[in-house]
Amino acid sequence: MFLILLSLAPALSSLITYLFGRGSERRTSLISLGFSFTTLILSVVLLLEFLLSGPYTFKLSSLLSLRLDALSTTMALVVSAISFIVHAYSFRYMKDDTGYTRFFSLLDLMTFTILITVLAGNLLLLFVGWHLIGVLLFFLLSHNLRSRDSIRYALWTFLVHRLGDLPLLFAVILLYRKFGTFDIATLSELLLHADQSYEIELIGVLIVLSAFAKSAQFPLHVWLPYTMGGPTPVSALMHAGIVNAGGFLINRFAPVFYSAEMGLHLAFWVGLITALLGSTLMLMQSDIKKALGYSTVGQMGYMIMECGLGAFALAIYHLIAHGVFKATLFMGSGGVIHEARKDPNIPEDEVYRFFVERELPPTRLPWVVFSLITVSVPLVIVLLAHLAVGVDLFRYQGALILLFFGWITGAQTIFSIYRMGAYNIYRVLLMVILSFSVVVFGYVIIGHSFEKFLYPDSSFVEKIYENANINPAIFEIQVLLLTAVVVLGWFFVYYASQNRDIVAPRFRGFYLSLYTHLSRELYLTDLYQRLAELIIAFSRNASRRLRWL
Amino acid sequence: MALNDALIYTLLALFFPIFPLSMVVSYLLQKYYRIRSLLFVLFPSTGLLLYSISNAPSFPKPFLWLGLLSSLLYALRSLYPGSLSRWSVYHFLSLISLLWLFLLRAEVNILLVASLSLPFLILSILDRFLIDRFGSSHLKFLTGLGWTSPRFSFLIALSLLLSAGMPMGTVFFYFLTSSFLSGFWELMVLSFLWFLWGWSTMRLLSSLLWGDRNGNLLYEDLDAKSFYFVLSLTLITGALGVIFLEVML
Repeated sequence: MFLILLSLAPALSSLITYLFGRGSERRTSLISLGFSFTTLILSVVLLLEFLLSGPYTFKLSSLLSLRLDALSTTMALVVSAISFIVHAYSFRYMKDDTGYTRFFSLLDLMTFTILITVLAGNLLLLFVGWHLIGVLLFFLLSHNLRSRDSIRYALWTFLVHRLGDLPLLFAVILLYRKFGTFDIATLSELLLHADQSYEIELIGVLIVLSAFAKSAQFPLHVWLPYTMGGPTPVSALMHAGIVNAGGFLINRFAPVFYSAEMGLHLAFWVGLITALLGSTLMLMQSDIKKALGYSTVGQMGYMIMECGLGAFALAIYHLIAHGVFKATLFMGSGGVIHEARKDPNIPEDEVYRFFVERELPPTRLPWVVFSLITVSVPLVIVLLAHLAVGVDLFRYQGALILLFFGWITGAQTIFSIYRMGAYNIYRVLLMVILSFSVVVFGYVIIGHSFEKFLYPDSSFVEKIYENANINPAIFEIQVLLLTAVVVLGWFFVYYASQNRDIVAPRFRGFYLSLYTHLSRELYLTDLYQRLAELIIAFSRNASRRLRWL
Repeated sequence: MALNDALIYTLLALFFPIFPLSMVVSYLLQKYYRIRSLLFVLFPSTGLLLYSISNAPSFPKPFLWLGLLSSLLYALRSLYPGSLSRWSVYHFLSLISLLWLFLLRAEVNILLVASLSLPFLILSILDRFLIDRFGSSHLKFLTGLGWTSPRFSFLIALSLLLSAGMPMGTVFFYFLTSSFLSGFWELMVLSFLWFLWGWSTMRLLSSLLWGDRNGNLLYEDLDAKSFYFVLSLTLITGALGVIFLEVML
């Protein structure tokens, strides 16, 4: 009952808003916000229902069936919460917009589509929802009907999504041909007893490929940073909710990876490349929204990488945390841009004076001691956090990699403190270590509890971790290589800061050419553009020569 | 091949148009635009009638590939159509030639043919409105309809999306069913087709609905009566999609 109500409430809201909201902003927002709040309450009730009665599938017909389980209820709650926040924010942000009612109606329709996707009980309905997300995103991003610019990147987004939907369709076809059912619950059961085969490996690869397009993974990441022309609430919804769909899809098809490895390895490598590329490109941006866009690309890379390591539940936790964090940033960016419009100069406040105008004090702490703290303290914290939840660290490569990343992040933060050269360095250092401990312990403990909630069967989780493992020799070489890159990077930065020069003269040419290639995003957008132009040129010539035929 | 079979194949290749006979259909649909809506229904219906009275003959495999490639050709052409009229003709040919996949692998029935023709009937009505109101449905001529004619825009967006294979219209489930009937290479062509349908539709929509208004035109929206009539037809198309799928399942 609540399942039906939850999935229908936003659709009903969209219709009522469109029919009765026109001509009055107040009426529009009251209807839409009211329904959005109801949806949020219903999703909480649904979670309680799941906790009390366990998973089940509600079948209305061959196509229309909804699934209630740990993943669907969690995702429904996340989607409803983010949707409500975006609705509440848009209430004032979109004021005086000529398409106010259309915007809210589309926002409701998008919420409905995402809810249908996460609650889908069969593969066809899941595919319908998955595809509709891309279609509705097109209309939300190109909300400003008078602007030709807004439509350009909305079209790019649509095309990447349409392309990315195809692997999911292939996976659905293969699953149906192999198991003869579209029902997700039945399929999950059957997949647990299936032998490892070429077909299942292929299905795994297809699922992660589809996740790559929705979650803006390299080389399909180009749509995300360019879609900043749309209204800020849409950016918030997109970065906090829609891009996370990749992580959801991999989790929804988790039983496929019970007997498939290739997809996991692919997810790891593509996620890693995307995380590095996204973070690098983020640092190169001068536009706050574009920088946030690349930051999302980097975060999504990290989330997909977590899936590739077998840490499926952690990826869901990551997407929730990132969603809340990024929605806040986007909604805040509107205010920053508004302030910047009033005064285009950088405000010369205390933050500006601290970073730009001050002279670095001499550090009393010897650098050897500081480097020891940098390397050892985060490692100890990360190890303790993992041991607290009883993770057998040396058994799973996935846990080791996550530990490695946690360690590097912590070390990087402490290293930044050293470079910052604060006056009261011990106090700052202590604060940073304390904050880092809270974050790591929180991340590991909540992530672990989340795993117990989403995947109560520990043998299932262990099997996925095992499947994510690669040849130990190759794994060790990878870790050594990554460590070497990170440590060399630190030496490079240290050397540069000691010499008061960002790049040594002999590396300047290399640095500049790397900067140039990266600032053009490795020419991927140019490549796609050229390809599109070639196809359209063919169409133009064919239509001219065969005009009537 | 018996003469009888050859005749049936040729006639079916005309009514479920495949290249090069599709050129005749394309010419007729463009030339006689006043009866285009009738032709949109007439061609596949006559094809179906012929198919039924010839007791569903079996076809040689090259027909399947001819159908797929014809569909691809017209999908490519619909990327640069020039006008809404031409787009609907190219897209119709691209969709109907795909019926050969059903002719060879499954069967064609009245529900399928009717639900494929209906979106084009709606498009014809809307195209007619543009021609009557502005004298043409040329894309370089008509811009900014999205904010000047909201009723028309709502309907054109909905009917274009339904005809281009967006859920929950018949074309979407038609494409899904075709995918399930296909082998590997056929599926590759189908995927490219689906991508092209989406691309051409969104390009067409962006040309018509977005941008500044043309200063030389006097914009006027659809009247309420026509709006509700076309809306009902569009909703029936959507409903037929779900019925089609439930029947197929």
